Amino acid sequence: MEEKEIKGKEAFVHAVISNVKEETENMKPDDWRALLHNWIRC
Amino acid sequence: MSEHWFSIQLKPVGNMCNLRCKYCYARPHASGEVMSYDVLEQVIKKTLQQDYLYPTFSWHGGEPTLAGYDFFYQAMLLIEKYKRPNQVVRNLIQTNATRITPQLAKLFKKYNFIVSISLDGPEHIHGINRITREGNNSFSQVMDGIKILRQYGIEPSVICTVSRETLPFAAEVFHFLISQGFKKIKYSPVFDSTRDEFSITSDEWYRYLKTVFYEWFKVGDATIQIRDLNEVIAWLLKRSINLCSCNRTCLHWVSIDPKGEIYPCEYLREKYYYGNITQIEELRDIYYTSSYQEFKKIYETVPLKCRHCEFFKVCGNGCPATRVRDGKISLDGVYAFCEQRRKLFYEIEKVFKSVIKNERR
Repeated sequence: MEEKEIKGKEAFVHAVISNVKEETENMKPDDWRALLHNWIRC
Repeated sequence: MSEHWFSIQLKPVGNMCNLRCKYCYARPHASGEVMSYDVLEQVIKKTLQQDYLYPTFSWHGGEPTLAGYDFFYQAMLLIEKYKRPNQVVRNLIQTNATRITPQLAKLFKKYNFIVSISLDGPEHIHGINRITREGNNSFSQVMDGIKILRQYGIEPSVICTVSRETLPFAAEVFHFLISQGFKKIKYSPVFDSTRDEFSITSDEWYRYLKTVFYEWFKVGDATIQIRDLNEVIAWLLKRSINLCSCNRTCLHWVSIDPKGEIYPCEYLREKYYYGNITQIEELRDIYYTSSYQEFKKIYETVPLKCRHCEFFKVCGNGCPATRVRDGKISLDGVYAFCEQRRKLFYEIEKVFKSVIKNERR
């Protein structure tokens, strides 16, 4: 990727990593991400 | 009480559906019966009897809302009746949204349902496959349903199925979904067999998700969560998210049809039958059936390719029903989208590393 394309995306990348980290650390009962699975295909 | 959760995929109308989506795996079984009150009570009672703090009822179909308002109302009353102290019961519903009424939306809101709707993109893309029995595009009915859900304070997540015909529209679909305010998106590749006219290959799936990733990256909004990308991003942290396709086990999930028959899931019902909810004392009795024990062995068999794979711990060889060996679907094969996962990981890793490197300059 060119530098101009990644410029200003630092906060985004950190936020994404933080979201995933939180998801994998804290499986809260009211967290849809912890519960939704891919049983259904359509 | 156990901290672990247990999830029941409840199919109140089996595979019965008011739509006739062209790619649907359940098409040959598109008629059926509604689960009786007695079976429903047995399912809820025996699920909540178990030693799990977070039991989850995942309402699926076919189209589960065909069971009607009264069915769901009775189900909620039964949950109230059998819920144990401190137990946190969650309800999820996967719906095509075409049958959502204000009454149903109000009930879902009252009981904190997590609602996931099936939408394949803007009207001209959605209508390629998701059609009514009469052959009409179901798009406007879906959007009406979403509107009703939102009127009652429910913000649905979306499952977007990707078939061979909709492959070229990755960017358009993504931008449509976010323009409609969806923040939680899951894509689902059609995979019925390696020769199916609707099915997509691992490489096509990789290229589709790669496009979605770069579009998401350009938008730069971390409040938009894309399940399929998170699945791989979790690997950057050497973790695995809680999907049955990467947990190395799906033994904490079972599927129950209108007659009360119990299976691991829809895709494995022909091979593994755990029993009938009305004929067992407790749900845990299924753990002792030969069928359950046999299914358990699936996870003990690791293909040669996986044994030396650096991702095996977090990938687990994917969904057993989506494994291929010698060009055919086979439980002892390798996950059909194995290469997609690996390539996507390296693609995202490359981008994320360059961003972080740039930041340190």
